[in-house]
Amino acid sequence: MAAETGPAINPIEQFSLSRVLSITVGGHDFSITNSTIYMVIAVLATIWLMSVGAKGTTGVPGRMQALAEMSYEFVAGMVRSAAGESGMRFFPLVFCLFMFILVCNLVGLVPYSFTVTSHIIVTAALALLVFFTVIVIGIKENGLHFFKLFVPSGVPIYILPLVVAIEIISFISRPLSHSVRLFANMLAGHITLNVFGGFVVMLLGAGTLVKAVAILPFAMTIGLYALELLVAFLQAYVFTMLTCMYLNDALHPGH
Amino acid sequence: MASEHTPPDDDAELRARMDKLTDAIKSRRPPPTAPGPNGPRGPDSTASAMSMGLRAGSEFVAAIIVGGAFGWGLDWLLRTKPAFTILFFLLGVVAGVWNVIRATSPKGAG
Repeated sequence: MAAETGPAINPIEQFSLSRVLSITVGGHDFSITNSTIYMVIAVLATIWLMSVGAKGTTGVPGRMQALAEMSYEFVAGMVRSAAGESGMRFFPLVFCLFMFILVCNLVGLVPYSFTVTSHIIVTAALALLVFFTVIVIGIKENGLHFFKLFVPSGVPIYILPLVVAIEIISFISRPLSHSVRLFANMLAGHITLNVFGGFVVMLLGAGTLVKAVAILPFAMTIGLYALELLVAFLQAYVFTMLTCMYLNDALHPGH
Repeated sequence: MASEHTPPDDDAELRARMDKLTDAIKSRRPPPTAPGPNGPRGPDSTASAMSMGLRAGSEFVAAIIVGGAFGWGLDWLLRTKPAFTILFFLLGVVAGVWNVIRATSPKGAG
């Protein structure tokens, strides 16, 4: 086992935060970290895509315009189908969430980059934003009628307390599943990629005969990378889809 | 007089032609539900099936964790050690199953 003396491959090193610029305001740490930088990159990339896509509105759209229009259409269709026409009020929020998560996921797949969405604090912040938006909008729009969400119609009175408790647990579990799903998928995917990439390095560093075996984890890495591309899109899609469904609950809590 | 009336007439005519064209395109297009598997966005059904699987699993687990944590918190507050943890853990399991049923049943039914 000569590999143990070589450079240790640490699959979770890629998620470590590092301060780039230390800022402290009133005893609180507001430092610019690598995470902050990649968030800014994601936001700038989205702004760039949308502004370039919206600039030359010619009859025949170019690549960028087609991409921008496709993302708009995709999210708009999602909002309309899940939350109805009245849900389009929340289109800016939903679109921002979708683009931010998607671009963060995709940027994170570039080698040597940092994946913002692999930190649960980021996904939890996004999920809680949605959670509290739903509660505030639901109460503002429907008043106490919003709490009918927890009281399904047509339930006999003697099991109602049980059903209400279950519904409340189900409601509170939303931000947890919402955030953990995105975080865990990105984390697990990147760890897997790193581990298989590490196998390639370790096997190449081993004896001459073993070197040929390195092709196996290499092929696996390529396959996993393709899967991660799918997952990056899919997670953004699922997150946005559920946001729409939760907003629908806020707007129409009757059923 | 003719020049005064032609613009709206042109507009109406144009709109009528556009409507006709839209109808014609619609009738030529295959119904949107039929070509799902091999739509323009690639393997659509695989993607939606995967997203459904991811959703169902995480929502099931999340409800159990929230139920258990809630019961544990109540026990901690009321010093009734295992009672509420057990009760709310079970309620969490029920809520998890309920989440999965809701996620997988067709949209109109829920």
